[in-house]
Amino acid sequence: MAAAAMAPKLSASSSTAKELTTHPIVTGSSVLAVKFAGGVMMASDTLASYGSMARFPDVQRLRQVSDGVIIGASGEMSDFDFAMRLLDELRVESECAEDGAELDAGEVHHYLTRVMYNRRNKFNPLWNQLVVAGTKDGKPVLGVVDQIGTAFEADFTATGFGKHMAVPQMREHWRADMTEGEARELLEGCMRVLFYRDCRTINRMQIAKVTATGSVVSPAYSLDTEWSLKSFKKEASPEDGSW
Amino acid sequence: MAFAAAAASSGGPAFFSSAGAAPMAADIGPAAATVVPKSVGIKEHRFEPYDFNGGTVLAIGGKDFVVVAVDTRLSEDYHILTRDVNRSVVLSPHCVLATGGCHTDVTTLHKVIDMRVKDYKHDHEVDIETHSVAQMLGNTLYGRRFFPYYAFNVLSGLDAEGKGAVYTYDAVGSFERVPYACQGAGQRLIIPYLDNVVGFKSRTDKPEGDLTPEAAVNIAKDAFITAAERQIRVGDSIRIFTIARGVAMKEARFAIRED
Amino acid sequence: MNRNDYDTDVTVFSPQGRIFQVEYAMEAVNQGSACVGLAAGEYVVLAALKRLPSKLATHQRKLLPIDEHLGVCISGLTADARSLCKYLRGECLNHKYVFGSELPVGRLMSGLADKMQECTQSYVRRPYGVGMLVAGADKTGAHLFQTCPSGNVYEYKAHAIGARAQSARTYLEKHYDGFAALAAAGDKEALLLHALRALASCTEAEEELSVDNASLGVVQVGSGFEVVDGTSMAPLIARLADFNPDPPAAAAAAAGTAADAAAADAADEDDDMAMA
Repeated sequence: MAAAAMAPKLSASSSTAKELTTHPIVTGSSVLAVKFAGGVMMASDTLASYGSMARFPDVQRLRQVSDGVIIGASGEMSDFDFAMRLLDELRVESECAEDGAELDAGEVHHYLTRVMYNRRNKFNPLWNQLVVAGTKDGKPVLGVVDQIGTAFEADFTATGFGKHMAVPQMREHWRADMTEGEARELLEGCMRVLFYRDCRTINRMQIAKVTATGSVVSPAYSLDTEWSLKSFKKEASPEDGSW
Repeated sequence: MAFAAAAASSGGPAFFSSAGAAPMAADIGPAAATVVPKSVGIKEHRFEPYDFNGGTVLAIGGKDFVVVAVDTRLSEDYHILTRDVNRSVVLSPHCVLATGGCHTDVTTLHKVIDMRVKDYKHDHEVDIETHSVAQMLGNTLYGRRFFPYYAFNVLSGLDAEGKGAVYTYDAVGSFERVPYACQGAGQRLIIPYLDNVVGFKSRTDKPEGDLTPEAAVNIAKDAFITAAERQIRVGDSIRIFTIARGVAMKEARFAIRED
Repeated sequence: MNRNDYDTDVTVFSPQGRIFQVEYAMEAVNQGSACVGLAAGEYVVLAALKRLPSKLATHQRKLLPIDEHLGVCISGLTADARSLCKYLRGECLNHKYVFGSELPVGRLMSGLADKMQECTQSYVRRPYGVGMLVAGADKTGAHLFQTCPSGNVYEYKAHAIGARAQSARTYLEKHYDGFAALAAAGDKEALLLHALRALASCTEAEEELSVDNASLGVVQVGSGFEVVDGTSMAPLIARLADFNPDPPAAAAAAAGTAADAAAADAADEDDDMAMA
C-alpha cells in the first residue's frame, strides 16, 4: 500500500512521460498565526501524518527564511521542503549582493504566490497552505497562500482544521493591540482545542515570533490538557447527540 | 494492510507471525490498489486548479463620470478568508479594473494587465485610453481560451471624450460596452435593481435629469446592502471609485454587513 | 582614420593592455551633452542639457523614466540608450511581477553592468556607446550610479558626465557639503537649483539654460521619480539667476572646505593632463 501510494511522486523515470502531484501524502495539519502589537506569532504542532497515521512526530513546520521572515506550512511536507529550498537559494543570492536589501515578508509572500500559481498552471502544485510572517517598516505582515496561489493578508489566520476550530476563537478574542503574552495565550488556547478535536494533531507544538528586531522559533513543547471536562465525559446524550 | 495481506497469501517472511490470526475475509476489498485511494484519499484531494472566492463588481457610467464598486470579502466554500481583500487595480488616472471569481486568477490577471499598461506608457508616453485597455483585456483573456482565467471583469473609465465607459466581459474575452454592469457573486441580485433604477427598464416614467456621481454612489451602496442580505458571498465592505472628468479619481470605503 | 593597429575590434588588446574600441565608446559618452547628478539624504537629482541637432529639430530627450522609483539621464548614443532603457524597464517590471516591490537600484545596476560588459568581450559585438547617470530610491535609500560602456558601474554622491562635465564636477565638489542640510530640510527646490547651476557651467559659449534646453529629474525615498521640464521647470529657471549657492549659513561651513575643494580641483586638472 505504501509503495502504491508513493508511486506517483517517486517514479519520474518510469515509462510515462511525466507524473504530477495529484494528492498530498505526508501532511501537516493546522498552522495558526496572529498579529500582535509589534509583531506576528505563529503556532503549529510538529506532526507529519501519513494518511491517518501519525507518522513523523518531530517535523518542524515553522521555519525561518531569514532573520525577519518565518513561514509555517500545512499540507505536503516534501513540497514545503522544496519551497524552503527555493527561498534559501534566493536568500543566498541576496546576501551575496551585500547591499542590505534582503527580502521582507511581503516580498517572500508575493514570490511564493507566483511560484504556487505557476505550479498550479502546470497541474503540478506544491500542495501547501503557507503562512508567511514578518514585518515591513516596523509594522507586522501576515500573508497566506495556498496550493493554487490564492493569496491574501490578514490580521489573524488559520489553515487546515484550524480554519474551522481556531478562526472562531480568534474572531472573538483578537485585538490589534494584543501583547505578546496575550497572543501566545490565544494561540495556545486554539492549539489545545485542536488537539482535543483534530485527529491529525499531536500534543507537541512550537510557536514562532517575529518582530522588527528579529525572529525566533521555540523548541517543541506540550500543552497541559484537561480530559475530565464534563463535555468529554458525557456519553452521547439525547440533547446534542455527541460530545 | 497490504503487507499483511501479502504475507498471508505468499506464506511470507517470518518477521511477523500470523499464527492465531483469524483468516482475513476474502471480500475485504477488490485489490490493494483500489483500497489506496480511499485511505489516502485521491477522491477527496483530486487537484482542482479553480476555486470560487466570491467577489461582486458593479459599475455605473454617467455623462462625464463613472462609479465603480467592488466588495472586499474573500471567501472559500463557507469560510471567510479575509474581510479586506483588494479586487481592483487602478490602471491609469481615468481607468479602473475590478474583478470577481477565482482569486488566484484575479490577482494574476491584474498583474499582467497592469504590466502591459505600464509597458504601453513607457512605449507611447501617454496613459492608455480606456477603450484600448478594453481590447487588450479581451485579448489577454482569450489568450487563455483553453485554460481560462476564471475571472469576471468589469472595466470602467472615461473614454476619449470624457464620457463614462463601462465594459463587461466573460471569462474568455468576449466583451461589450454597456451603460452599467454588474458581475460576480451578487450579479443576479443586483442586475434587476440596476435595470430598474439606472436603466429605467419596465417603468413608465422617465429619469429626471442626468444621473450624478453622488446618486450613482448611493445606488451602488444600496445594491450591495441589498445583495449582502441574500447572498452569503457578499459582505464586509465595498471599495467605491469615482472617476469624473476634470477631477482626480476618488476612492472610498463603505461598510456593509459582516455576517 | 585608425588611431593604431590595435583598435579594429574589441577582442584585441594593445601592447599597453588597453582595448581601444572600449575607450572610443567611452569617448562617445564624453562627446554627448552634459548630465549632472547629485545624491543628498533621501533625494537624488538629475539635470541634463539637451542638444538641438539642427535649428529645425526638437531638443533631444535626455531624461528617461524607468520605473516608479527610478530614472536615468543619458549621454552618448541615444539609440543605444533606448535599448538599454528597454532592458532596465523589463527588469523592473519583472521584479515587480515576482516580488511585488521595486527592484533595488544596486541590483539593477549589477545586471546592467554584466549586460554592458558582455559586449566588450565578443568579436561580433560592439560596446554600448552610452553612459548613464541613474537616480533611484529603494529600501536601502537614495542612490546615484554612473554606468560606462566598459561595463563598469560606480556609485556617486555627485557626478557629471558628457561634454564639459569637468566644470560641473568642480561645482559639485565645491558645494556638496551644503547639500545634506538642504536635503534634511526637504528643500528639493534648492537641490534642483544646484543641479541647474552645475549644469549651467557645461553649456557652450553664449548658450544659456532655458526651459527648452534643460531638463531635471528628481527621486525621493518613498515618492516616485519625477521629471521636471518644460513649463514645470520655468519657475526654477527664473530663480536661477538670483540663486545664491552659498547662503550665509552654509557659506561659513563651505569656507572651511573651499581650500580642500580648490586642492581637489587642482588634482583633477592634473588627472586630465595625464589622460590627455
